[in-house]
Amino acid sequence: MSPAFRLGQRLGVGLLGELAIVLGTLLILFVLVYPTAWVIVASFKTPETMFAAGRWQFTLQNYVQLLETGFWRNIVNSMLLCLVSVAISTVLAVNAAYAFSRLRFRAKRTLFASVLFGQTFPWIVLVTPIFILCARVGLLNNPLSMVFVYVAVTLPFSIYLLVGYLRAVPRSLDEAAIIDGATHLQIVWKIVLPIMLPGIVATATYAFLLCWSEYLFALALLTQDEVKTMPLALYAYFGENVTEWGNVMAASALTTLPTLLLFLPLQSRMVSGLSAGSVKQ
Amino acid sequence: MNAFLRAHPWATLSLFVPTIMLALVMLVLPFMNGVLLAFTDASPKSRGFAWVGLENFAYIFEDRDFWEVARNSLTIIVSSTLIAMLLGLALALLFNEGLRGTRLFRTLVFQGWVVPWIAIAVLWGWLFNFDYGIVNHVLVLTGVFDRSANWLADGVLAKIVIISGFVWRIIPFMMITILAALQGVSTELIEAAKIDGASRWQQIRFVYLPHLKPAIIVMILMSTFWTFNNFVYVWLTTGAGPGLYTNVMATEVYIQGFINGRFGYSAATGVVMAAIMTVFGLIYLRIIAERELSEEQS
Repeated sequence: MSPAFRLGQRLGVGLLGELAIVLGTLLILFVLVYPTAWVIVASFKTPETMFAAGRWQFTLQNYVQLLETGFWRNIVNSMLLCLVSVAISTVLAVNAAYAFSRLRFRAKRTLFASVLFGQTFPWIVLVTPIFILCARVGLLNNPLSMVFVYVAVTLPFSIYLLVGYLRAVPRSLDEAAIIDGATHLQIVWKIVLPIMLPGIVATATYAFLLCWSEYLFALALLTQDEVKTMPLALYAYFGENVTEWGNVMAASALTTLPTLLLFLPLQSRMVSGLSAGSVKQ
Repeated sequence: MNAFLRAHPWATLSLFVPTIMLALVMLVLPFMNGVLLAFTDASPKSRGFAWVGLENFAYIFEDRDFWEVARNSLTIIVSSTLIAMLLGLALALLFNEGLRGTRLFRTLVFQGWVVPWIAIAVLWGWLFNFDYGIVNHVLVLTGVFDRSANWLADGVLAKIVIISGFVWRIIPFMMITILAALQGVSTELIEAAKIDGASRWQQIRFVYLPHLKPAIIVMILMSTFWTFNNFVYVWLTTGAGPGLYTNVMATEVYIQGFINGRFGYSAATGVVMAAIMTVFGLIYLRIIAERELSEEQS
C-alpha cells in the first residue's frame, strides 16, 4: 500500500477525499515551482519561441547579447558591493552577537530591542534622508555609500540570527578561556568563531541575498550606468514600449541562479536559524 | 562569570563600538532627519526650505488619496497574509504526515523564498501579460474567462496580481516554520491522544493547532512587516497603478519624494508609516524579546 493511500485512511477522508488532497497539493507545488523553473528555461529560448508553450529552440544568444550590452560590468559591481558589505557586516555582527549572548550590561534590553526593530522597520522611510546625506557629502554614485547602507541594513538581521546560533555553543568553553586569561576579542575569534562557523556562513548567505536583490537604495543612490547594480540594469531592459525579453530573461536568470545555488546546500541550516525565533516556546 | 568585564566595562562596549557608530550615522541620524523633514516643505528642486509645522500631516489626513493608499495597504496585507498562512499551514500539516519525498518537496517549496523580488516582478509581469501570459492562456483554455483579461489595467485584477506574488513568496516561509513547530510536538502528547481514541483530525485540531499558536502569531506579524514595507515588488510589477489601485504606503513615500519632488510630504507619509510599524513592532518585541532575553538573564 502506498504511503499516500495510508494518508486518506489516517485522515478519515476516504479515497475521493485523498485524491482531492493529493491533486490539490500537486497543483500548489506546481504553482510554487513553475515561475522559478520558467525564468531559467526561458533564458535559454530564443525570444521568438520564448512565449510559445510547445515550441522550443535552444540558444545561448540571450546571454551573449546581454553581456555584449555591458551587463558584465553590473555583475562585477553587484558582486564586489555585496561581498565587501557582507564581509564587514558579518564581522561586526559576530562581535555584537557575542556581547548580546554572553555578557551582561545595562543597556542590553534596549539595544536588543532596537536590533529586533530593524526587522520591522520600513526602510523606504530612510531613502530620502540618506539620499540627502549622500548628496551633501558628495557620495552619490559612489559605491562606498552603498557599502555603508548595505552594512547598516543587514546588521540587525545578522545579529539576530547569530544570537540564535550562539545559543547552541556551550558557555563552558569560553568560561574556561576567561579563566586562562583570554580577552573577549580573543575568545570571539579563537574559540567561538570556529565552532559557530556554519551558523556564520548561513548568516552571511542571508546578508548576501539581501544585498544581491536590493533595489530601493540602489535606485536612489546610483544613477550613472557604470556604477549600477544588476537589479537596476535588469529593469532598464523594460523599455517604454519595447521590452527586450531576451536580455530581461537572461539577466533575471543570472540574478536568480546565485541565490538558488547558495541556498540549496545551506537549506536546512538556514531554515533552522530562521524559524528558531518563531518556533521557540 | 565575568570577572574580566566587571574590571573593564569598556571591553563590552568595544565589541559594539563599530556597530553602534554605523547605526547612528546610517540609521538613527537619517531617521531623525526624516522626521524633521516631515515638518518642512523641502524639495529636491529648491535649495532652501521653510518650516511648515504640521501642515504636511494635516494635508495627509485630509487627502482622500492617502486614505485610499492606506486602504490598499490594508487589503493587500490582510489577504496576502491570510491566504499564505492557510496554504502554508495546509502544506505543513500534510508534509508532517511523513509522506515519501517530503525532503524533496520541502526544497521545491522553499526555493521561492530566495527568489529575488526583482525577478518575481519580472515573472509576474509575464505571467499576467495580456498577450502571451500563461494565466490568461490557462483561464481561457479552461473556460473560466471567455477572453483574455487585461490584468494590469484593471484596478481589482491588478490588486489580485500583487497579492498573488506576495502569497507565492510567503507560503514557503509559513510552511517551513510551521513544519518546524509541528516537529516540536511531543510524541507523548500524540500517543496520549491516540489512546483516548482521537482521530487524526482531532489530534490536529486539539493537539497540533494549540501548539502552533505562538508560531502563527509571530508569522502573521512577520508577513505584515514584509508586505507593508515592500516597495520594489509593487513598484516594478504594477507601478502602483492603474491609477491609485495598487498604490500602497511604501510606493506613496517614493512617488511623493522622488517623482513629485515633495520631500516634506513624502517624509510625513514615512513618519506615519514608521508609527504604524512601531505599534506592530512593539507587539513583536513583547513576544520575541521576552522569550530571547529571559534565557540570557539566567
